[in-house]
Amino acid sequence: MFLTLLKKDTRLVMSNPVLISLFTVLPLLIILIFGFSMKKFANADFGTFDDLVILYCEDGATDDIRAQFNDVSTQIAEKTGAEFKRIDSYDEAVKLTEKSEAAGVIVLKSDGFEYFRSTFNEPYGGDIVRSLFVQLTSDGNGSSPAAASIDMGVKRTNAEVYYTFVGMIFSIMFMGSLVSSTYGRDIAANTLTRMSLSKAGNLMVLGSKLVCGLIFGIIQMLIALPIATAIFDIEWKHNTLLILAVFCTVLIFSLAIGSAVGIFIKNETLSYRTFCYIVLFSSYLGGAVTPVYLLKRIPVIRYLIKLSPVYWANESVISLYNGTVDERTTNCITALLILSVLLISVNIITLGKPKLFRKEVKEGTKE
Amino acid sequence: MKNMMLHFFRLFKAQKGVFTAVVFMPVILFLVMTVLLPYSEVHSIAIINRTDSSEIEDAVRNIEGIAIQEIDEDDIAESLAGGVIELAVVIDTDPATGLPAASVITANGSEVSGAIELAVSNAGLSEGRSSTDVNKAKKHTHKLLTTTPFMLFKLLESGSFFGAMILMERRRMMKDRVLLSGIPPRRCYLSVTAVYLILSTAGTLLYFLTAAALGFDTGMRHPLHYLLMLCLVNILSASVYFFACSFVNSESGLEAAATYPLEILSFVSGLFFPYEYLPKVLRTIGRFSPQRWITHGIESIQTKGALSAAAGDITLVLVFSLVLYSVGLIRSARKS
Repeated sequence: MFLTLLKKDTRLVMSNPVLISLFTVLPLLIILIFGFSMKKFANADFGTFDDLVILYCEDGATDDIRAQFNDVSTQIAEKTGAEFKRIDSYDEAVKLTEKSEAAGVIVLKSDGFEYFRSTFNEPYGGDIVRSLFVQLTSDGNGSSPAAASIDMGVKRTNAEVYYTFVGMIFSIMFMGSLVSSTYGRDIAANTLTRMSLSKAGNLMVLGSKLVCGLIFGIIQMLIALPIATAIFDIEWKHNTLLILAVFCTVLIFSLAIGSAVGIFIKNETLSYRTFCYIVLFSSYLGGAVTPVYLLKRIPVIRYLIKLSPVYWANESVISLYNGTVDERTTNCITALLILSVLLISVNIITLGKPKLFRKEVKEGTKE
Repeated sequence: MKNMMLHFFRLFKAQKGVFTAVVFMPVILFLVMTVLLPYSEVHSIAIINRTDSSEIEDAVRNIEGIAIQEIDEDDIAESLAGGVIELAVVIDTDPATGLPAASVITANGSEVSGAIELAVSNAGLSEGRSSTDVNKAKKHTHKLLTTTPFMLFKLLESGSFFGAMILMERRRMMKDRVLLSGIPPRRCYLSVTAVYLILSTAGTLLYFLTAAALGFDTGMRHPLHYLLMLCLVNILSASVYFFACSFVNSESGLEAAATYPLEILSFVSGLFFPYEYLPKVLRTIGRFSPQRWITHGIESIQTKGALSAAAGDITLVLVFSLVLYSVGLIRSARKS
């Protein structure tokens, strides 16, 4: 009986091309596109000082001013890579600056400097160089503090690894739509009540949908993870089993949400859309699209993201990959399992009424 | 024509949600996406000052073009490893000299570490008066360009309501009524297009004014140029959907013919993350997206400071729109 129900649910899933694409194409699309696209951004490799040119010209400069300029510009050029180029025409230099072909123009005068920057479009690198120039041409008498440079050499999670894991979590979260869709189809075909009243009962009906979702979720992981690992050359050195355990917990949680949505929103299309909105919102807050480190910089959002189950799983998996097993993982797994149990209980309680009806019919027949 | 336009305006208004979606939704989405797409090329750093002296801290804070994040000392290592900050300046008293000294800590190097070190080692100078005068300029605020591709996509997609209106009128045998009244069908289609363009321009204007009121940076010498480019999107949107309507007869057909291709092309035009970070293959595909032409036009105006810098992109979009609309008009006029 259970296998029959499982076969039926499997056929329902396989007959829907959208659902098939969810566990085959979607994870690879997300992982590969985001992983490749966000590489430079994740490394903060913005090219801030690349091709940064500061033009300069003289207008009655004295030897002292020239010497000061040479000293300051040499220091700035050494530390930032900005290039200082001499130009004869100030007007030409201003035009080039306004057309973003130079970051600024410095005029060496007899009593100091004039710095012209674009009135509407100064680049960030230009901001930094200008601030340094203004500071270094100041006449303060304070101490010259020592500045030690320390590189922690910490392994930062690169975009490829980040989006492999969060992309996997994001895709797994969509698996619950299999359960909500199959409920929708059963309700539309009036088969749900018949199945509930039959020997199968509600638990077996729910069980077959959850097992069906589990099977397809595991297939999804078996397709996406090896391909992503091969393309991005990901090293699974630490805590591989725990990472997979977190993925499986997310899968169970997703299926549980799907079961709750499917039973409350009886229309298949509407339940699918509602489920997708829940997943998209939760995943966005969890760092599935915009990296979580960017979201953590925003004042209110940095607290809001902590409510997202995708965030919990994301933080847990990244820390496991980096070799750390801490309360993030245990809390994530515990919370997701508790929520799953609650949601499945809601499903069972809601579906309980037809069983009650069957009991009434039986008792009526006995009398 | 005036009566026809009034008629279509009333029809648009009568459709639940259409008016809101075309006029007000762009503003709502803009506000939401500003939060959810916070991409910025500003380098984020943190400062921990364990001394009473603010000399070094002030010198670092005075550098424009970096963002200072308020991070607890205990969270510094985790924030560095997680990418929340690239660099931390830890100011402490040097036991040998008794004077403040700074450590510039990075997780794996930073583009701005050299600049920060320079500022720290010259912190003593910054308390004096600078001999450099700087001209006034617009202060950097949150850049509008971060959310522009998403907004362009939504403005483009709003044309689906226009397309749905055309299909609805077609099902109501509009053409027969129009022919019986002696009005050429072309005038009818131009009227509904004009009404849609007025409504969508109102929505675009509302979005532009909201951004201006909130102090967003268009990065342009004349922010009105940005508004002009947005209006171009509305023209393109109307043309695309009108063209698609001339081939299909249902809303689902319209989705398949226009909305899905726009979604795919938007994805490679920088919809969710900056275009310049996409892989080369996707950037090449994105070059064929009309949305990318408009974004490129906006970027050109920002870089060169003049509308003429986007002349090529504007011409391309207008010609493309004209071709699509003309084909759509010819086919729609023939459709029974």
